[in-house]
Amino acid sequence: MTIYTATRRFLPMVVACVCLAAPALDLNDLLNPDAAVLKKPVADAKQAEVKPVEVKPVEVKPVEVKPVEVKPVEVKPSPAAVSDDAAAAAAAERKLAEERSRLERERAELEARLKAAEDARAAAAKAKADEAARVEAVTKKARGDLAEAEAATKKIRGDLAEAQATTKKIRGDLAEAEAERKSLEKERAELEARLKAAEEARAAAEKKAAEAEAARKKSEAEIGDVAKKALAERQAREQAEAARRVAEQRAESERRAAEKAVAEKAAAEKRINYLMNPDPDERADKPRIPAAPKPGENSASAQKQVQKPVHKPGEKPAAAKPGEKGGAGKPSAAAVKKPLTGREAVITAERTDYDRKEGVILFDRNVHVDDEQYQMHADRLFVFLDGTNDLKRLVAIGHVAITNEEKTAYCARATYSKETGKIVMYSGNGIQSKLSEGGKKGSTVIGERITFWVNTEQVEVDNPVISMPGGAFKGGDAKDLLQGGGKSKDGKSKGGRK
Amino acid sequence: MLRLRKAFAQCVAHLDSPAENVVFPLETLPDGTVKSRLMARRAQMFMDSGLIWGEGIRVEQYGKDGKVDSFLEAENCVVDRKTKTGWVDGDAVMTYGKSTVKGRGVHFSVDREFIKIFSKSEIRTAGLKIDPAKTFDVEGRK
Repeated sequence: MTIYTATRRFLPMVVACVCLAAPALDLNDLLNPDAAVLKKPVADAKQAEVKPVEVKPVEVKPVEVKPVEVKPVEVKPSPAAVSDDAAAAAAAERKLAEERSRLERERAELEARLKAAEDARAAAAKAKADEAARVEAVTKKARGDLAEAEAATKKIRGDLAEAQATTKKIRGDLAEAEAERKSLEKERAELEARLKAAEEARAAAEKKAAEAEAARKKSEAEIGDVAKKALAERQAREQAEAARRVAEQRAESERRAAEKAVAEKAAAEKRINYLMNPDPDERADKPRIPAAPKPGENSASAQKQVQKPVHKPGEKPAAAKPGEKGGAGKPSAAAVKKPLTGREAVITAERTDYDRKEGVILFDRNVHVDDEQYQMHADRLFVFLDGTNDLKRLVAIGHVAITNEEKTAYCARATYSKETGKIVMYSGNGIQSKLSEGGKKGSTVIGERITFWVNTEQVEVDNPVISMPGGAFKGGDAKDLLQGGGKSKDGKSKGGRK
Repeated sequence: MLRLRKAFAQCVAHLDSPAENVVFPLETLPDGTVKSRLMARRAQMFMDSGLIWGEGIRVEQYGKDGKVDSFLEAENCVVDRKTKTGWVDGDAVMTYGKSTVKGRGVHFSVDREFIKIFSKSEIRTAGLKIDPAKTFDVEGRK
């Protein structure tokens, strides 16, 4: 391999040296000996000096060829001349034959030489091709070996670098392990120190805990004593409080008994006064007494309900409003009839819905209509309007209470239709329809359904219960039984099943 | 209603330099005169939601003689232009003739023509008589 490598490396140098040593030879001749053989004859190859011939291009001019006119000559030979010419011709023919044979020999010789030269050229070419093939094979092999050697070298270098890196890493790990070992040793020393300190602290804490436990037991004992004292004091206080409460209750019951006695005395005086003069209008300087209780408990309770209108907790009763008249036990409206001031009516409610498209106004929760001529309370009030926004119908639902100057009405549900001018009051939910007259008559009508015509002030009652003050018939008329001047729809006495 | 109440709170939270002393006509008569006009102390339009928020609202409606026929005053208001509904979070007072409607928390719809007063509702009107001989008119006319 070394030989071929050296050959490959030094071959151009050898060729250059040969070219310098034999300047007569051309490099192309060396590389192509067949051409050199073909250029020179084999015999003169060593002696002949080949000089470069400078060939100049010859300018070729066209030659004008003129045709020559040939005229035939008529020749007439003589007999003597004919014999001399024949000899000369024979001699010339012989000379020509000799010359021809010589030339043929030369030609044969040249052909032989040419053939030999061709053979030599072919042999040389074959030898050269063989040599070139051999050199090529050797070169190829040498190149393969070289590539293989380079790859091996590269691999060795890689292995070397890897080994160096591994070595470096191992050294780093070694150093790190060494540092870690030192750190662990240091940590171990610290832990040992802390363990020792903790042991000491634990011992101190145990000592302190023992002391605290002793103190706690001591304070618990003290607290127990204080608690016992406090319990005894609290029991004593409760006993005193109970005694005080009993005394207060006793005083309260005594006060109530005294008030009751006073009230009974006042009622008895009122009763006496009423019995002495039953017509309340005759007692201008004295407050009007409530309607005379009818015999029996029901009437008394009904009258009590009349004086106490249905309303929600916290709501001001309609009958208790200042300036309002018509409630039982109040001065007669007829006696103190006020002129109308034309003040505005006020409707209040928790919530109001006005649907203009449907023509409905809903007042919801704690509805109160405060008009100059009447007051109304209800849980819910519907106002139905017609196309021109005029009132068409009213519906009041839930704890309905209406009062005006003289009358007071209670019911569970009430409706009013403007077209018919009719108010209908319905019972329900434990509430009976009730119409009370607060005027001089002071009558009360209770029924399942009470219908009242506003225009004619006629009343129609289903299942009526009528309460009237005592002496109502005294000098009165049957038509005054109910509302002042009112009459039944059919013109007969009011009340009774329709 | 709940949507508008929530939108009101969001509008208040996102107020950004609202316009002040806003005045613009709402309706005009065929002859071009103004029929109703809105005035607001502060107002802002929210382009993304189409809501209009206003504060110190006063809507005046004029009669044929040019005098104020009725008016509405509200502490604040948010109006959705798409649904033509609105919500007054504070107090509102509507006056028409001798009638006055007050309330706090009012939901209204122009299209569906309703007004809901959710608390402290009070109506003052003249001529509220349960008497067929007299005309009952919620608008206060006799």
